[in-house]
Amino acid sequence: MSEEKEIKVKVGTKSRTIHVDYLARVEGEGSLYIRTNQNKVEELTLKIFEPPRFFEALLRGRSHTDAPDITSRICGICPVAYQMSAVCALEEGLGINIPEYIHQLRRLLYCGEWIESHTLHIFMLHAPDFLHYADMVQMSKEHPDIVNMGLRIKKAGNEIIKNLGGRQIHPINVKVGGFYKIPSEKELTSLIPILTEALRMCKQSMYWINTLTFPNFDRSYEYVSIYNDNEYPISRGRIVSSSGLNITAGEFLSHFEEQQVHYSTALHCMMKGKGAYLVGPMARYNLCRDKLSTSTLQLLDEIQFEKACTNPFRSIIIRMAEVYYAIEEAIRIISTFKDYSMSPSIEYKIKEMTCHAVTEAPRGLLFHKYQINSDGNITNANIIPPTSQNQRTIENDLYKIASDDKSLSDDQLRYKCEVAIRNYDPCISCSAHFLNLERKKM
Amino acid sequence: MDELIIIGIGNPFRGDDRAGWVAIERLAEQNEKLPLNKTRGDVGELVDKLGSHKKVIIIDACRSEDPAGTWKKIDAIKDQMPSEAPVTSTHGATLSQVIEMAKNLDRMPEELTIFAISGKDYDLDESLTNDVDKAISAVIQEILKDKDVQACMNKA
Repeated sequence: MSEEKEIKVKVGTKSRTIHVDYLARVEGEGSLYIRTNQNKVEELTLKIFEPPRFFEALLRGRSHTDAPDITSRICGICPVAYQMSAVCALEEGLGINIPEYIHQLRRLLYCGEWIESHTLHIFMLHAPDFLHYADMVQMSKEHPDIVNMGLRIKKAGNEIIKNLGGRQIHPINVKVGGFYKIPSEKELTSLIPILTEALRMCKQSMYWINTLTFPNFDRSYEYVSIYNDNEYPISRGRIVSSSGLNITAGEFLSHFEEQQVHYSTALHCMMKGKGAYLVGPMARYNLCRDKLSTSTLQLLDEIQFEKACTNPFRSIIIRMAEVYYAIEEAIRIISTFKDYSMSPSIEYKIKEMTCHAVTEAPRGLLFHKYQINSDGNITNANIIPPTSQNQRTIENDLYKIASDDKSLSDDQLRYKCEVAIRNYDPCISCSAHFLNLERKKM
Repeated sequence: MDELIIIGIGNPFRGDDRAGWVAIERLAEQNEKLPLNKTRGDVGELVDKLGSHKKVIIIDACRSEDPAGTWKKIDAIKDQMPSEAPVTSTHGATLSQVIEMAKNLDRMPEELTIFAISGKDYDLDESLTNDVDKAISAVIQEILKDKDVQACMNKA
């Protein structure tokens, strides 16, 4: 939760500096620096000073079978995404064709993570912004029914992960080639009542979210997501973009490159020849809207939500629609699943290889690349998370806000910038919560 | 609604912050019938547990000016929880905030007792300081005196 400790404002000098000790509701440690001259923004940097965590180096020399469990430790909010990108990459390289029943169970597990992660962000981190509460605790005083609904929907996601993943945080049931164990019919179908109830609450929550007031802020973005002819993208498909890119995961590094910036420990991933781009719910919606279920589309039509969304402040509505879709998908998968007696995984032979995969983490595209030697050990790994891909786009949004809204006081500007950062549900890390805003007027 | 649950909050990899978990593990060794739960402090999970039991006992490490190993028993229904976040949480939400939210959501148990154990070392480590270790034993003895806990242990 958030706790603002101190605000110091020096006035009457050429420069002005603001320090806010803590900002909750972003995952990790970051700060914002804005320098203006004659009301013109001269420098703006979203600094990420979270210490480097060296996961890619940690993977070197380890067995390829360790990759899903080690990479899942990168994040306590989206561990399934890391597991899935890891196993999808390794299975692609090994030439393993995952049977449909395993794919369906993995999609179910991933739905659990979308429900849990999105609901956490919608109700605990982002909705308080639009109601001007410091956090969900304050919001719960005046909107107890809404907060209760949020907690119950989130619980449905938690239960899927606990049931299928073996435990709620950092699940342990995913392996290269499948799962360690397929849950029993009783275990899976026991989820139906809580999911059905969550679906009903989700619809109510959507009506409520649609009553919130959002800032007018439309921009033109380059959207990038997975696209699949047969389903809303989670873990299968090609990488597409709004400017016509259509590539495989193996071609990702030919079209995207990571750049180091001196003020951040997180690399910025840029599209070659294009620059900044946007991944996540807004990209998925704009590129794959037609793959949402009929009832999700009906719900969006009912609230008259635009068919193409260009205002990131409204991405909270798309997250809610994705929660609705994920709950429906979870119910569909459980209701139609029959392969309880099938083998939880398939055998494979190891070989020297380079492999790649992308899946759709709740926050957006998650790229993994591995090089494996003939002993099955990892010799090199490259992981590009969604926040690294969105970082430059977030800065561009902030630049526009700081440029356009010159009349904002420092406090107002800081607040609007914080909300704009939260539009992206950035997962800088999953521990500390910290944002400093330093604004200098020359 | 269930009758009783005893919850240990903490991070097993952060030194004295593992006190709540260790207490639960030792209680499990004492009697397998006790309804026990270990958690890292997920807000939703805690609110859910508070709202679905008549009586909740929580054991957690805390930061305070008291020497390490000092422990306090707080009646969270009658007493005011300290507002300045004395209970450690690596996930940002304090236990005081969780309780405040549970009150707002009308999801409080009839009885809520918190055992807060002052820790000293919260670095990445799987060991406890000696004084915290001794405090856990004392807290367990206090919990085992509770009539509802005893009733649970003596169930046929």
